[in-house]
Amino acid sequence: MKRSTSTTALATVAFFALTTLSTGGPGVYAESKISTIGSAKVFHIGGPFELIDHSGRAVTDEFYRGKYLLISFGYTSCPDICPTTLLEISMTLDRLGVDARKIQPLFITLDPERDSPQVLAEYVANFHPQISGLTGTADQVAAAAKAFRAYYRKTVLTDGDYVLDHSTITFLMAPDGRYLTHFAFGTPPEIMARRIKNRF
Amino acid sequence: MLGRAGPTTAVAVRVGTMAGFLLAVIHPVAALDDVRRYVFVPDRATSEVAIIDTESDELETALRLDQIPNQLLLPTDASTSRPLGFLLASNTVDDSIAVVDLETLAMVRRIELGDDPDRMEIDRDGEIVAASSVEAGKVFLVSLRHGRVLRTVSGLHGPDTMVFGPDGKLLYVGNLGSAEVSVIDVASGQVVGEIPIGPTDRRPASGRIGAYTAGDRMGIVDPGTQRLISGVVNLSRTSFGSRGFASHAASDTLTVIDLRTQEKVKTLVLGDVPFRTYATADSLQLISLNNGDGTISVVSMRTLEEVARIRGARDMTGVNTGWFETTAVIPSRAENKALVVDLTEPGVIAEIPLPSSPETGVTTPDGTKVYIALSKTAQVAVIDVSKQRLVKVIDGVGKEPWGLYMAGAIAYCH
Repeated sequence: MKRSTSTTALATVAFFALTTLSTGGPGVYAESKISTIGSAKVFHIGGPFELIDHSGRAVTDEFYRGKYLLISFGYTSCPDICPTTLLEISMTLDRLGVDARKIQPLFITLDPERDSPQVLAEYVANFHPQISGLTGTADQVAAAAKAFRAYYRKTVLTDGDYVLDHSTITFLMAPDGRYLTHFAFGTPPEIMARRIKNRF
Repeated sequence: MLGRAGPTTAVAVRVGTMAGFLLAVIHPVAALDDVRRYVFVPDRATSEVAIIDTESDELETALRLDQIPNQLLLPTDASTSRPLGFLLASNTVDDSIAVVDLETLAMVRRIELGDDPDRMEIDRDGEIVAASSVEAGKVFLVSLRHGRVLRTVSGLHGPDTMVFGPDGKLLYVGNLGSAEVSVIDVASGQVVGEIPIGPTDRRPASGRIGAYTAGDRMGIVDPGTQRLISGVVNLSRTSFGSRGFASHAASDTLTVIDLRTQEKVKTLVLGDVPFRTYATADSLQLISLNNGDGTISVVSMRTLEEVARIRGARDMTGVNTGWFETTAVIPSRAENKALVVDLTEPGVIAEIPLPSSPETGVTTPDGTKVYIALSKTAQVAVIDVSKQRLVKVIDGVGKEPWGLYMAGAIAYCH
């Protein structure tokens, strides 16, 4: 697996070598997750998924029932956003103290081609020990992303490497699987922790 | 509360020296207690910019400038979406750009241009600002690092809206007075290309660019400025930066441009007078406000085909998408309401009456709320996008609030 060694290197490659654009990922949002409450049309967030965790175990959304889920999407070669997101999640868990045990943070890769369970295991080891990395087949990952309206698109570089443009939201799901709230990238850990605690 | 009480010496360094300013530009600072949670609201009648806290939906404070700004910019780092710690305000009284430090809310620099700055755009590195002057026919390329104009590009035909190419080396300029997008090399300040827009199967009878005949209108009159616009009424781009969209109101067309190669990809015929066209933050769809017939065109970015043309309203002012890009909120100045459009199955699913005429709006970075300025009543409307309803009206916002700005308003890594 190729990894970028620095943001500058990746940015330089992207800017000067980019001549080809191809798309990957679903690009179409699930149409079935819509309901109507009164006169408002509600677009649901979240849903069933079947993936593999970084220990190689097959898991589903049902597997995590009883825990609050803190879900982010990304990929291990992501130079800035993803490691920062996981760092902020780690700091949030630290701030929550014993309450952190109620939470299962999940990092779902959008790059199953490169992010095998072993690669994910090495990656998440850099962050809070509670964080679990999930991968799967391309279809499984696409289905999970679609359920959370997580957008991603592959941009192929001329040297054959590629980067992913992807959404940067972190989702908080209730122990019964319902969507509770979400956090934009860069939400300070103290704010994230406070908002999570308010949901307990 | 806004801001944090930093050491006096640290503030003095940042304000007083070139090195301090460079530091503020190069190293993004966390200022104003997370700048991204505030909405900045400029005004037509006062030089104070109201600042609203989106957590409380209350007026927090005001930024006091020395003149009424024409436009604000809140630059963010292109890779991380983090605010760069300063705000830019363009001024038509003294033809300048003011640079305001967001930690101190004090102006740290004024950059003189020499002509009215009508529009500003900043490159993805936060280093170069392009300022267009429609009447003067000029574009100024300004270095924030050096605090001065580096290059002046003259001889353009009413340069107005602009977009930088994805690598920042080229600047694309929409000309109000000609059906062409000018391509400028940023380093040299030279015009290196002209991209004709509009219908390719027709040519102006007189040979003059923009002078369409045989049933085509000559142009449209901008109600705000009373200018006759025969050329590019709007130029915008995808958030990922690879495609640009030039609207030609005189022929009801939209030209899609590959910003990496300067090539035209396609020309679409949309509704009557496609006045404003914007891509969703995920670049999956394009939404065009056709103010000539009050319709809204939804274009698939994957197929570059119009997938829906739906009933809109009169005098639609802008498009604000949110809630994971499932929903668009579109204010109608003539009908005192906001339309809520379902982008998954394109159609208007709600109409929200507003207390008075809406101007433009802005979506919060997490996509949950849209704020809309109500200039006639000095208010700001707060719309919950997921619930598709008005949840609050904030009173006492300046005298004639017209625009709203927030830093880091999209939630995508690219």
